[in-house]
Amino acid sequence: MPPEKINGSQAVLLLVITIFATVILFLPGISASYAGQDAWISLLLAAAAAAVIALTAVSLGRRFPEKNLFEYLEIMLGKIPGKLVGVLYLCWFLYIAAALVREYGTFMIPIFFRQTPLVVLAAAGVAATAYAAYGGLETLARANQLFFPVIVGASAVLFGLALPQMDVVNLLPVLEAGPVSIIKGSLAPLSWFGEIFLISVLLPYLNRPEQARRIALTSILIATSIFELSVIGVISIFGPSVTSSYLLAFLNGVRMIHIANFIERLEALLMLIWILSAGVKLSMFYWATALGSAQVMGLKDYRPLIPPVGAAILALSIFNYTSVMDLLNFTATVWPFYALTFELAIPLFLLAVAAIRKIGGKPPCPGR
Amino acid sequence: MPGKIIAIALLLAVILTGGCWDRRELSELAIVLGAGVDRLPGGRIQLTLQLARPSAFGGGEGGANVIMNQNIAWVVSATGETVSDAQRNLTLQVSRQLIWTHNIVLVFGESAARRGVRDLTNFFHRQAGPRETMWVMVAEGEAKKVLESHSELEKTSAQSSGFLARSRAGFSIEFINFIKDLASLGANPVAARVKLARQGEAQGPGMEKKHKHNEVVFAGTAVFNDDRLAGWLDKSETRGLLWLRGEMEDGVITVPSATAPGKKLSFRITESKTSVKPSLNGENVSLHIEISADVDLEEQQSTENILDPQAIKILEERVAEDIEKRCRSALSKARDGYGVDIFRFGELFHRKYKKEWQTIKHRWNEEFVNAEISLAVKVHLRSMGLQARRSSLKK
Repeated sequence: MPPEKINGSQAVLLLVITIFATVILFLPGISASYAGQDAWISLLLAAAAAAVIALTAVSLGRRFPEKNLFEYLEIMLGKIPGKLVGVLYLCWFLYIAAALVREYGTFMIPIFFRQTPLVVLAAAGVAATAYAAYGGLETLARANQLFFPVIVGASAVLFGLALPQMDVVNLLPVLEAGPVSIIKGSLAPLSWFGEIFLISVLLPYLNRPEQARRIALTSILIATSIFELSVIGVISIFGPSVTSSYLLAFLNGVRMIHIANFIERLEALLMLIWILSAGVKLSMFYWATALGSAQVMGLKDYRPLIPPVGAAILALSIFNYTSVMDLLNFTATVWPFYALTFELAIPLFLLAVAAIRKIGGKPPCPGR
Repeated sequence: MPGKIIAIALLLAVILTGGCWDRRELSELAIVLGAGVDRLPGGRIQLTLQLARPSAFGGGEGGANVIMNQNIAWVVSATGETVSDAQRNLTLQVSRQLIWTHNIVLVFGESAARRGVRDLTNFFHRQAGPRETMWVMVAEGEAKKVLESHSELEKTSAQSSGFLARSRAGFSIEFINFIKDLASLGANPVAARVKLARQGEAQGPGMEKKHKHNEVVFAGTAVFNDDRLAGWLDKSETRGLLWLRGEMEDGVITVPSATAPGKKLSFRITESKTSVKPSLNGENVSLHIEISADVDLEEQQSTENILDPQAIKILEERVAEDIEKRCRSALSKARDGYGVDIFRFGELFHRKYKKEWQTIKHRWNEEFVNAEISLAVKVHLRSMGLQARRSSLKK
């Protein structure tokens, strides 16, 4: 069905930025509040579990070549139940998009835009990404090829400049937190890593679908390496107790950069990273929501649905939370279970259904 | 064509209206250079701010004379229940919006520090304005007095104390490190101790008024027990503190000559390294501290042959003794005087003995006071300036 095609590396870059955007906001704070200086171990656990999520999504999708999540749900579960589950997934996608808009809106305000109302920032973000979603996946993939080096390059520059502030002994003693705390600390990152489940919508657009498994695992590998460096960096600057006290620990890490009373106040660079990566991630979920809605409703084209979906994202982003505290509480306590239901529980169930009912093509042979 | 016109109009709108909403013009801002926090006898918090006067900062080359005659900074203060409350009360006096992002120093008054600084630091940590890298100091007496002083060499006293802190000649600490010590069970905070001293010599008749005035000077270290000021370290003990925390960056050590009584030699520290190894024998904590330093000969009053390996060895030992003496005086002041670990040894112990730490972390200060401490100092004389031997030796 889809005329658009993206290649393997484009898919990897898209998936990496999709994971990157949320994690770069919250990660060390929430994990360190459970696992202390062992947050980096939590992150490794999360990455390992995320690989399971990615492989589940891929083997599910590979049973139905040329079909995405919403299409094979109907084949697998029957027309009406399939559509119902599809709608649940759409709600979840919408939630992710709205949460992202709100996160960026609320965090930009106290730091960079003290007097601008939230709705203005949110509307600007939604409007810009609406244009991207209208352009379609191929456009997005190409735009992201331009953004990716900027995002990673700026992150690398910040990391390099913060090196003099770092002292890795802050990571000692290793394994002070018990296994339970480390697992607790890995839940939130796992749920963000799990957004790699988006690959189940991307699969039919790959020009070489047989690479799907490698694409998913490479994305997780790249994302994990970036995050490990960042988490280790931030904890070695602040130590575990101060890190866990921060809402946006990366921001404080960047604020610490001062070299020779000259190279300092580089928060603008961080803002560049935030805005670009949030833009890409929002466009992805925006596009996926519009596309999925069209398929559930049986429309040929998803483009007419872009304005209503955008309105829904904007409205939800404002109404979903009453405050930053509400957002943080939800993200730390409820969100992991909410997300893992859609990322792992339902896909595993579907995989079991497919195996028992013997629907779909053969699962990919392990070598590919 | 209409599409192009719309596109150009939109682009112009982006360029011309960008940043208008949150614009902050320099002429609408009051830039905070230094902040002081005092506790008044009733317990109210008094916030004193040193604000830059941008018009006086200008001037350039020709403006030097004008600048001499007007105040560069404006000092205001107000009281409140919290720091934020006091700041709010300040807005009744300051016609411009307060901008904290360029704050250089945070000074706690002595009485505020004695009552505890934990409650006073939160404002500066929670707000996006004040930087983590500002310097923390404790004033002898009132913080307000320190901020009210002015500097002859720099434009404001906040800048001058900031530069003094950055030179690391005395002990100085950035806000974030102060907070880390405050948050740790294995360390107690320390901060620079500042006071006012009459500085400058009158140069010619009629100049007394202008040149004899109070300047901020560094006068050792303020020692905290948890968040309460416990007392001070003098200059010599502060040197010991720097050695023991591994923060010695610069300094001169003067020791008596071995050959000529009454004559002295001065050495400049070029490299230093401190390693502390905690260990546990049964219940007892012991700490082994190794310090190694590289020094250059900077001044020699005596006449021994500095090329003679034997003489070098003796001098190195004398310098090492001096370092050890200062370390011991800092240690004994911290242990016997105040009973607190201000050297972050608890953190080191924690890193090595994570299990044992759980049982002693709440009484680490006692463990530190009773710990067995051994100290080994090694000094290497690396260079001797531009002279190989004294020139004025009469044969």
